[in-house]
Amino acid sequence: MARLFILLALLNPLIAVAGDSGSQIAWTQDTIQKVKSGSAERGKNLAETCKPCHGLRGEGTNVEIKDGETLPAIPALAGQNPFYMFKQLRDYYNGDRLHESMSSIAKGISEEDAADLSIWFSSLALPIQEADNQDFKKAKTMVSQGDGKRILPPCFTCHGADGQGEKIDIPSLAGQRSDYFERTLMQYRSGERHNDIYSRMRLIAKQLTKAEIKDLAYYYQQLR
Amino acid sequence: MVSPADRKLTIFHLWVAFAAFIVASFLGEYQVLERSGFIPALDSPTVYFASVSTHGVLMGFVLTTFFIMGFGYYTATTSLNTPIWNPKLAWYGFWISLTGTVMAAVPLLTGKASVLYTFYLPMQAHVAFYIGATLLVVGSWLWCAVMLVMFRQWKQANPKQPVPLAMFATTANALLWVWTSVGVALEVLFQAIPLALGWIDTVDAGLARTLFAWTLHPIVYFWLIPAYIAFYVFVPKQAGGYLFSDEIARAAFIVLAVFGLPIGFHHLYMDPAQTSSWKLLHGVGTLIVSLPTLVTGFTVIASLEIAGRLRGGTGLFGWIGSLPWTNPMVLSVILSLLMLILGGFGGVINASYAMNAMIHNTAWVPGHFHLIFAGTTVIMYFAIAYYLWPMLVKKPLFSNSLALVQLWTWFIGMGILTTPWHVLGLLGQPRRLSSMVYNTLLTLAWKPYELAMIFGGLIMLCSACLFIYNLVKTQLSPAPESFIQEIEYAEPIRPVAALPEYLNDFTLWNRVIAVLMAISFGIPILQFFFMDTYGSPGWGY
Repeated sequence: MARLFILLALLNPLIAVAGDSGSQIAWTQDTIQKVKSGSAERGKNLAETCKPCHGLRGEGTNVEIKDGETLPAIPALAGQNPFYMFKQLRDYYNGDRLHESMSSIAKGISEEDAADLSIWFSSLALPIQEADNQDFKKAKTMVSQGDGKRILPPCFTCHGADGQGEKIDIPSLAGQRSDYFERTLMQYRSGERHNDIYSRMRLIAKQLTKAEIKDLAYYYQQLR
Repeated sequence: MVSPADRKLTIFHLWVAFAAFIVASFLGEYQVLERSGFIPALDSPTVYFASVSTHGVLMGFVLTTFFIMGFGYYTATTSLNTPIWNPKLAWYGFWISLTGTVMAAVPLLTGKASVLYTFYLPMQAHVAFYIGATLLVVGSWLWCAVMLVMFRQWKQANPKQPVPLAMFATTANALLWVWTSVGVALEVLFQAIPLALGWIDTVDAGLARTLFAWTLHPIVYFWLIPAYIAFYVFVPKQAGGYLFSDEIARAAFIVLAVFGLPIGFHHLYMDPAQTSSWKLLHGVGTLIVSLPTLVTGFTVIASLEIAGRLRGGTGLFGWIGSLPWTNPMVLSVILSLLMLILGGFGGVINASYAMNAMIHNTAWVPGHFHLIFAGTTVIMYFAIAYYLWPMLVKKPLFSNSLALVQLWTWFIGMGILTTPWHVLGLLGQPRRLSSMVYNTLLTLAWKPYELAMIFGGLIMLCSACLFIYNLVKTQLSPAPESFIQEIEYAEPIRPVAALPEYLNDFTLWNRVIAVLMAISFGIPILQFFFMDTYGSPGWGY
């Protein structure tokens, strides 16, 4: 028995690492099919309830001060990768991602609803966000080259040269609200958000400075 | 006497091949420049990977396939002394392959097929790339059909007679190519195209890599055999001598065709999807294939020695100096063999499991295949072009001296390009990266080698331009009043009166290949259907 305990104790770190996949969603053929077979029409109807926060066309908002109250940034959903969005809704549902309002809202969203919503929002045109004349040199370097000294891979390797994301699971960043983008990376940095598979974004975000995160947020917001 | 129609068929094929070659040469120089990071304005991973993919497809698939088809038609009609069988079919093959090339070029040039000219799913390209590649192969199958029918018809018309060596070797290559291309054809038809069209959501990457490995190595022998054909049937005559042994040459082609096929797993040594025992089997096969290369080296050098001594050379090495070094074919074979010795040595390292682990996925690998392919093989393509061009266009070669300069510069450029490439691999530089942004002492140590590679590539680019210039000038020069040059095939020093059937036919060897392929690939492929494996969604496009 003592040996068994020792063995379990030794295996514990491995089990802990194995358990930290960050999400319960695996991209099996069944799951992919589930998302692909989502109905945009049903999604459109379901999305009526999303409009008050995410906007009429899924454009989201930056941080706003209304009646003296600071309203948080809301992500743009239009043009988002449907597989990524499906995973986020299921992660909220499963408790792998937490948010004061989305966690409870997602409890009422079935798998089928999540697929329908994902397909609907992905079909909407990419939001056109305001662009300023900021110098994006540093952000562009990070996107195209990363930083070798800190072993930071370039953003484009996963998110694409135009921030378009990948087919499965890698979000589109182009046109995303800068305040939401910044908040998300800060949450990854602190570990508050932890539904990224095998900590891949947490590891990157921890290496980024606040200024770099801000630069990237503005850069991706103005991408089309 | 070759008919104008058959000459036209050959010229069309060769021009497509060389057009692809010159475009790819410019891309190659851009790539060494971009990868070095010396010119920041060139830095663009997107453009780099589109360029690498296009360069690889043009050099590895378009130059080779069209050259081999064109050369094959000319070899068949001249060595058998008969017109091309079913020229309509041959032209269909040409147009199908050309359509496929254009179709694949569009996604390649627009960055929609930056998959490094491989078929390593789940890395995925636009469907047009896969359909285009398929058409290129389908067109080449028509060439195979023409070659196999001409071989069979000649044998029926000349029972018990030895098939001319040039045609025997060309048929070996056609047979090899039919077998070789089946692997990637299965992968593209049942995995890549359905995935790209969205008919399936996931693919079994292990199965895809296994099927690609089926094709991946023997394709190299498909490219190499025309060079070997020139070694055996042109070089001895051009050097002023005789072929050392016709029978040995046939045996070398048979061993290449038979044992070149079931050995692709040395490309999968580091893959988890196949067990060590299968890798060992393929590894042993790989080392067996070094035998025909050694035999070829021996036979060609022996043939050159015969020529050198007939030309008055004496002593242990005196015959070397008396060889006609100003003959492009002879110069090419000497330079080609020098590169083959070094490249072959590297190949044995790649084929050896433990040493392969050392250089796996490093810059060594592209260094090796450039030396063997662009060096050993392509320099013989040049030699063949210089030899055939005057006969094809019925005009003398524009400049023999320019041809010699071109061959020397190609050789020197190749040495300057690939030596540092190998060293970089040993220093741990990864391949398949567009830039090296990790500024450590190690990566800084790579810089001088990258600088050397830029110069090597530049010399090769100039050499490539010289080659095209010489051919264009030859073709556009005014036709002389009388110009007669006929193809001359080397005679063996001991004439071959009769041959055993196994050295004069492929029926037996075709069966041997079928058995060896079933043994080497049967279970490794079927296991993916026995076991529960999870597929992967597509990636990259």
